[in-house]
Amino acid sequence: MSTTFTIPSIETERLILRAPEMGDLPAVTAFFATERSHMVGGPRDELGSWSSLANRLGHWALKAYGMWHLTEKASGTFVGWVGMIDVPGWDEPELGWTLMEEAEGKGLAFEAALAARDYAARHQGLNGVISYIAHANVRSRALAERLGAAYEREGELLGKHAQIWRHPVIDVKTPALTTERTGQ
Amino acid sequence: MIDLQIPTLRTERLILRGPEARDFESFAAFFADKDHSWGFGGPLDRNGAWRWFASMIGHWVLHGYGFWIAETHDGDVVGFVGIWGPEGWPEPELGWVMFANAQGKGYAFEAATEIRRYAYEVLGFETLSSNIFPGNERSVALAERLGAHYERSFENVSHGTEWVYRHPNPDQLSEAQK
Repeated sequence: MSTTFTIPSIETERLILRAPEMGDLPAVTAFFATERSHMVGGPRDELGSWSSLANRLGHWALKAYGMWHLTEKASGTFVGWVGMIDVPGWDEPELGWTLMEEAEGKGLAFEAALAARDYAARHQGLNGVISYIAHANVRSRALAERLGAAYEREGELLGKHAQIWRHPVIDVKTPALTTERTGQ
Repeated sequence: MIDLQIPTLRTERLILRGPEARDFESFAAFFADKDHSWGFGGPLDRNGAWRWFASMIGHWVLHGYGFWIAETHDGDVVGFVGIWGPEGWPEPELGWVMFANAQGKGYAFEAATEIRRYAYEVLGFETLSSNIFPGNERSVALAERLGAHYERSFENVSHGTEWVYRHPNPDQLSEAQK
């Protein structure tokens, strides 16, 4: 028997959205040791970081959508992750994003989230999704606004209060934002 | 694209196959039961159980081996057995869990014997160990029945002191079976 699943790669102007891989683990582990990670499920230790990477792959296998890891084309480096998550405790599938600190301030999270949201609406049946945003996460709230999302209500995620923001429904009859990379 | 190949193995009473979405409820029930899952890092709530379950599939992608689901020839899921070596483990270990309704029937022994054979003959492992929480007498008994011996204790990265039981290596195993 074989279990086959696909993690598509998507290319934007400055980024490649692709499957999580083992080579990303040092950067993921370093991120989960920082205070920045507290707003997205951290802190996590070495094993917890590995587990996070591994369960993103499992998420794709089980749900046919999930988190992409981001490579910045110019530098070739791993700069964060973006994509859809829906696990027990979530009200519905969520668009989430995290950027490594050194990659911030260039609009990369916006570019990645826009591409992921567009792809999910067209190919994964996920349109008009939510984003959970921790109250203290000012940057993330600003990004949600820039993405055209609107505050919907207060919510709770794994025992912590969070805001729920709602993304606009995308008209899938309009041209797609990105091209899918093939042959890999 | 990822083409995940999980071979199906067969024993006298069991089929060992890759994990699938329909198996999750068995894992959620197992991890919710502290008395049963304490020797495996439990208890975990539903979210934690799902993350663990998904990481089990990711383990196959990242390492090329992992946990198989053990089910009877009638399709009753009885537990999971396999080779587990996430980040921070001293070495990949042969691990086993039988769900509450399937203990005491020798299923874990049957599955672990076959997976150890597969690990040595197909995956090319030259040694295997099993990490067992002090006091988990049922697991110790199974390790000994498999021919493994206590080697040392160590501090697991996430859940404290564990005992390492060392299995016979491929040569010792074939010698023992003559």
